[in-house]
Amino acid sequence: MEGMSEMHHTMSHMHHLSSNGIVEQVLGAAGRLSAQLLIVLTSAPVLKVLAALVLLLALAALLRPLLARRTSQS
Amino acid sequence: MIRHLKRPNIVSVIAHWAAAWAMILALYFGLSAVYGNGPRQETFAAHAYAGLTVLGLVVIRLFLRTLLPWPKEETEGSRILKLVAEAMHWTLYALMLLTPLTGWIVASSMGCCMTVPGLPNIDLLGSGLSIGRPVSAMTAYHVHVFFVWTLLALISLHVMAAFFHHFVFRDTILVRMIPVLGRRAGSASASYATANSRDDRLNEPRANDVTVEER
Repeated sequence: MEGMSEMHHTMSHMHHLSSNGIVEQVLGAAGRLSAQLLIVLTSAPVLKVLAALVLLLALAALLRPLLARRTSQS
Repeated sequence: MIRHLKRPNIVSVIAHWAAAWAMILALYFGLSAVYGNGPRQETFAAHAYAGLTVLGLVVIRLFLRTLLPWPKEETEGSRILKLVAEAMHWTLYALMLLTPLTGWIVASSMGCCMTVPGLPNIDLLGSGLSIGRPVSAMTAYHVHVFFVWTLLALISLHVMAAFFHHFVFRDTILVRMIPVLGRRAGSASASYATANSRDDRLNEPRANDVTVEER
């Protein structure tokens, strides 16, 4: 277990030394951003507001034919 | 039945320009709150109110867009361009909705440092519903900043596309959103003229008309 921990430490150190390439940085930033986007878009506040908006738009879609009928009659 | 609809309803047009101004104000106050030397608390509150105004206006626009028919441009262009334009509009709507929303999440968790008077805590909204998980303010802030720059890039493209339509395609896309320049697009009140009515024949040449199909 001791040797394993030392190995992990060495590998982690090597990773930090070799992770300065631009491609790796871009991929890292893109990965972080994607993860953050996913977390925010599936968070409680966003889902609740989006659910309320969907209900509101469903109401508008229900009212649309009624309004069109009324406009065509007048 | 096909009706000729020359411009969107006036409330949508007003909401479009009001949202444009609110976004300019939100950007100005947002950048001032982060980089400026002025009173940070007041500037942050002004940024939050401008952002919430954008949120309210985009909800009104989406409601009206679902409720009322929207003019469909009949200009001949490539199908891919039309698809890109459609995708861009809906992405703009999504970003105008999500950017203030992520900002609201950040503002709700900044009670320690900067408060926005009158702003309800977003975590208390719909607290009976058990959907989703809580989100950290820092994550929401990173996404908020990413959305802002994406929104600015898309707005720049949107403005350039509007000018391109006006000066190159010479259609009514830009004019129909500016009521004071309304002659080319016909009056808003006459926008519901039916296909073969006398009013319609007296109006602009058919090439300038835009049509909408009743669902």
